[in-house]
Amino acid sequence: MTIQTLDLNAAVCGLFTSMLALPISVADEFADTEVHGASVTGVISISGDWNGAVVVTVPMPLARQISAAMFALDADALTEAEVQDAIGELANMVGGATKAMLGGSSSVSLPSVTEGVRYRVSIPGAREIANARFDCSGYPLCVSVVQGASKGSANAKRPA
Amino acid sequence: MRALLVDDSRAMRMILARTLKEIGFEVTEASHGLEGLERLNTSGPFDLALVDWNMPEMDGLTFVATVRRGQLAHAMRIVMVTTESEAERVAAALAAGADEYVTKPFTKDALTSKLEIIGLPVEKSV
Repeated sequence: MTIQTLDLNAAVCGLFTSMLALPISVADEFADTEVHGASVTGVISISGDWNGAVVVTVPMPLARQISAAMFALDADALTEAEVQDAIGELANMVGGATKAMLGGSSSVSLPSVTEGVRYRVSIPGAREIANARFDCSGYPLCVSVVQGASKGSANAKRPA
Repeated sequence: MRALLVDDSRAMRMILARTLKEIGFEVTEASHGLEGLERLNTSGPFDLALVDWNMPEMDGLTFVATVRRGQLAHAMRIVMVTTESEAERVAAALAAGADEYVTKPFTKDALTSKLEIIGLPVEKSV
């Protein structure tokens, strides 16, 4: 079970084009795609035949743009809960697409969302097996796929 | 036409509600399956339910099976709208009583064409 970066790129770009109508492109390999300042991270765990997680990180201004597109509201009018909900749903859709690429039988968790400045998302025992970086409205968007060391190590299975 | 949206993401409910209103539906929302059943009891009947799969309290598959087992909404069309795209999941949803299946992310055209397939009238926007 492998994840091809090209497939990940297509899934994320397709999502932004079809549902959010936000401009997005795969980041130039030399571009600075580090997320600086306040950011928001959505995580979806996958468990079953494959165990791991999909981690989507965006800077706060882009998180607000994505949320504004989903809620059809002005970015300044959004609440913190609405931004977290939107980034959770973004992670859910990227996670679902990733699970489909993996094949086999697996379940996805409900999303968890973290926001702050200079934090690190860590899943003990997991290693990154793929990542994709994008430029969306001039901001970086990072997707990382991490695989758990053993079955059940990266997450708790969610009931069907 | 009246639609019930059952999805734990408020953002997704907003997107779905916008789309449904554009094509002529009046929309009621619920944030998980149990709340969906409650809405059916208190605000039904509905012509259509769009149902997410992964939700807290009661997931979409249980909601669909519960609705189809009961006498509450036999005529209501049910469309699963979810990131779960594997064939076995689609088969399970249809076996539980869903009429159609839409995978997130989706386009407005993809959703409306599924509604037309299951015989629901869709207002064409100008």
